Order: sequence, then C-alpha cells, then structure tokens
Amino acid sequence: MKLKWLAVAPAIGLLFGTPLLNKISYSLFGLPIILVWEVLCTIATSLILLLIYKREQKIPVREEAEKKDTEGNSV
Amino acid sequence: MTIPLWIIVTTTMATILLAIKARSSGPKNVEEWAVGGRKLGQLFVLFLLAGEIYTVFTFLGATGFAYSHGVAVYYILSYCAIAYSISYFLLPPIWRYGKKHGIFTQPQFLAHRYDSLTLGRLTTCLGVVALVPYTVIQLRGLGVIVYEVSESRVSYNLAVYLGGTVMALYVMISGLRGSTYVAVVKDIAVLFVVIFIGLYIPIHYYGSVSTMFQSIDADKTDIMSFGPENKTIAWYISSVIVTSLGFLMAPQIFLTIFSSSGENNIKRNAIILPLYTLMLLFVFFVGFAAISQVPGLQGRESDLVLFRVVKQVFPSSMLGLIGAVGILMALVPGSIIIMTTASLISSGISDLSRKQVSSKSELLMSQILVPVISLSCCYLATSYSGTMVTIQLIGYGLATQLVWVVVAAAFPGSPYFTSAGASCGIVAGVAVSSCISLGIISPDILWAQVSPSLAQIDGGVIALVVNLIVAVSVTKLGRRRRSISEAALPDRMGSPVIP
Repeated sequence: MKLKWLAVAPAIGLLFGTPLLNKISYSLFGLPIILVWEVLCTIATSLILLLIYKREQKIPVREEAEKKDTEGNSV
Repeated sequence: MTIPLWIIVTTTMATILLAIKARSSGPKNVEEWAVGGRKLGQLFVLFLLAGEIYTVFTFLGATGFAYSHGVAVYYILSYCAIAYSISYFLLPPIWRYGKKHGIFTQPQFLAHRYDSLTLGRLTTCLGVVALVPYTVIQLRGLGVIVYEVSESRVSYNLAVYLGGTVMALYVMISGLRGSTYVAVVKDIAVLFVVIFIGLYIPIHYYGSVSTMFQSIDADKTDIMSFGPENKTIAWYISSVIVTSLGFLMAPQIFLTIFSSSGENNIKRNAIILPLYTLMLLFVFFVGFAAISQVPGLQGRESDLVLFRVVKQVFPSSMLGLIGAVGILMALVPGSIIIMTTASLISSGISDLSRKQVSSKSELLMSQILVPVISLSCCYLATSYSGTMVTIQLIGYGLATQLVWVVVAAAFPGSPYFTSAGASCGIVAGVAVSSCISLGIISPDILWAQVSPSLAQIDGGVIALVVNLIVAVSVTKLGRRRRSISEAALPDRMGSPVIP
C-alpha cells in the first residue's frame, strides 16, 4: 500500500519546515507562525494515520464481502 | 500541616486505595502482574502510553526549557508526533510476535527474534542500567515538588523516600493494573490543571496569549528563534531525529504495548496521541510567561520555574492542587518503570538459571525485587547531584542504541543483522553515547572545526551512526565467513541456514 508513505510528509514538515520558518516574525491568530506550523503538522500526523487506518480496516472487510458474494453465486 | 500539604497527602492516600481496588483476584503469574494478562482495553493503554510523555520531567522540564530556550522547546512536539507515526508501523508487529510467543519484555523479544541468549542478557543489563536514571528523575521531580509546596517543611530526602515507597506499593499490590487505574485519574487531572494554568497565567500577566508573544518578541528576540545565541537549527534537527527514534525504545514502552488487548488498540492510540501532545502547548505557555515575570533563574533552578510562577499567581490551595498533579505525574511513570526493571531482572535470572522456574516463584521474585529497586533508586536520587537533564540524557542515550536492532527484528522474516552483529553494534553505540554524555568525548569541538552552523549537534547521532556501521560490518563479515566455510564443504547437506 502506497498510502502509508504519506505518513512521512508531516515528519519532513516538522524536521525541515520548522527551521525554514525561523526568524519569520509573521503571526497568525495571534500566535507565532512557527508555532502554528508545529500544531498544523501535528494535526496532519493524526489525520494521515487515521486515513491509513481506515483504508487498512476496509480492505479485509471488502475481501470478505467479495468471498461471500462468490459463495452466494455458486450456491 | 498547611493546606497544600494536606491536599497532596490526601491525593496520594486516595490513589493507594484506588490501586488496591484495582487488584482483581490477585495476579497468578508474571504475565498477569506485569502486562495485566494482555487484556487492557484501548483507553487504559492510551493513558499508560500518554503517561510516558506527561511525566514530572515534562511538567517541570518543559516549562524550564521554554523559559530558558524559548522556541527550542517546540522540539518536544516534533519528536512526539514523529515517534507516534513510527509507532503506528513498528509496534503492531512486535505486539503480534509477543502475543504469539508469550513474551512481555524487550530482552525476551530480542533474544527470541535473534535466537541468542547473549543478546538477551546484554539487553537485560542495558535495560536495567537505562531504567535507573528514568526512575531517579521521577523521584527527584517528586522530591522537588514536595519541598517547594511544603515551603521546605518536608525535607527533600524524606519526600524522595516516601515517594519511592508509594511507587513500590502500587505495583507490589496490584501490578500494572494498579498503576493503570491511577494513570487514568492522573491524566484527567493533568488535562484540566494544565489547560487552566496555561491559559490563566498568560492572561493574568499580559491580558492574552497573543500579547504575551508580542511582548516576548519585543523584549528578547533571540530566544524566540534558533541561532547561535540560543539552540541552533542543527541542534533542533538532530535532537528531533535521535529522540523520536529513541522514544519507543525505552523498555517500559514494550511492557505497555504488550499489555494491550489487540493491535488495533495500538494503532488507534498512535492516531490519538499526537493530538494529545498538543496539551503540552499550555505547559510551554507557562514557561514563556515566566521569561519576563520571574527573570534570572539559571541552570537547575529553571526546573522550578513552574512552581515559582504558580506561587506568585495563585492562592496556596491551588498550589496544593498543582503539586498533587505533579506528584501523580511522578508516581505513575515511576511505578511502571520500577515494575519493568523488576520483570527484566527476574526474567533475566530465570533465563540464566536455564532451569524451568515456576511462574509462581518468578512472580514472587519480581515482587520482592520491587522494593529493593525502589529503595536503591531513592538512594541514588538523594545522593547524586547532577542536573535532571544530564540524568535523562544518560538513560535516553543508552536505550536509543537499541533502535536498529529492534527495527530489524520488528518486521517479518529473519532479521537483517546476525546476533553477533546486533550485539557488537549495541556495545559500540552504548560506548560512544556514554563517552559523550559523561563528557569524555566532546563532539562540539570537532563540529566547530568543520562548520560553525553544525555546533550543538546531538551526540546521539554519532553514537547511532557508529552503532549501525559496526552492526552492518560484523553481520557482513560473519555471513562471508560462513559462506566461505560452506563453500569449502560442498558435500555437507546444507541449504544455507538463515540464522
């Protein structure tokens, strides 16, 4: 499954994105941009893992459903 | 006794009662005792794992770090998020293997996977040595809190010994289950207290969180960015990499995941826990607020910043409440770590004796070991005078060196390293990391000659690289020698045996 490689994205964002935002004094919602970035990457980590989890859970169910279908047809 | 002291004592008593209540029918074997019979549901495992982040070290240390290094404190958020995404992929296969083979400690897992008792013994010793500093930190944090909250009426040493006794009580009575019940109470209390003080303190001093940031920016610009005056970018990147790799290698994490009732629980926790770490933001806010409000704390004193601020802002009953939460943050992880150490030693001894030790006597041995370990850690916490950060670095540096060996073992098929390669790599990595954390080698001087922007690179990077190089070369050497000897004996009926 290729989807799981998406989990690397927030890690790269945290590791290398944060240093890029260093010294930028722009603020968003009253918080420094570097802090907003950290929070967004952390939330993205959770969302991406959730996506991967949902996909994983679906696959065995679908296979089972297909199996049942074919069994049903043969009977 | 003062009101804050009463609050602390009552809370501690209540948690001991809770731990006794958690005891179902009395554990019958070590598996039941140390990993709750692998029956803990998702929420319990969540609280146990979360307990590993919200220890007293983060409570005191993170505020202190935010206070003295400003923006650099965000590295905690970064490594937690990365470590949890690694855990999603790394831990379920380990859990599956553990369940299949009845394993509940890290050395057992490695010994089984690499089919090597030597590796098992090596990692047992390493685990026990690495766990001592983890325990000492919890005890020291607890001692500091009680000392501060009681206005020095209770001595630091007395507090440490009392704390050690309570930790031992939780786990001797009801094993992991006892700690788990207390962990749930602790985390709910932490959640409320941390969010409350994290918002209240900036608003009290500055009117709002955003004015606080504006005012810090105006006063002290260098603390709110990475650079040579503060922590460098090289420090940030290297520390995040090393810590996120080492985070999951702590032996107590293995104990916690083996207690889970299913692998989906572990995955769901990996999804939730990054969001849960965002709570640390409020801890950071307290540290930031203190920068100009309680100026002048340096070195070890910066760990006290949280309590200094709280004393300034709140009445004494609130101080007691926050102290009680801080103490729970020390007791829960401390008790789990002591239990991990006890089960490492007892399972190590029963492996060594090679005799079939009955599960009943192994359990008894673990339970007897608990007070012994706890008292020795108390002794160390009262006699060793280094800073909390140095102690943490030593323990972390040791456990992190297991990362390559564990990752190679986690995935199906025979692990990439031979057992000799794995052992040599660990020994080399531990040697380098100990030399760096004890100050025998100082890589900073070396980096400074290459380029000043590389200053402050985490020493763990070098140790991990040395570890990997040694492990790979010993493995390759061993394989080549074997293939030569196999080629010399072509008539021997040997399909290449993969170790």
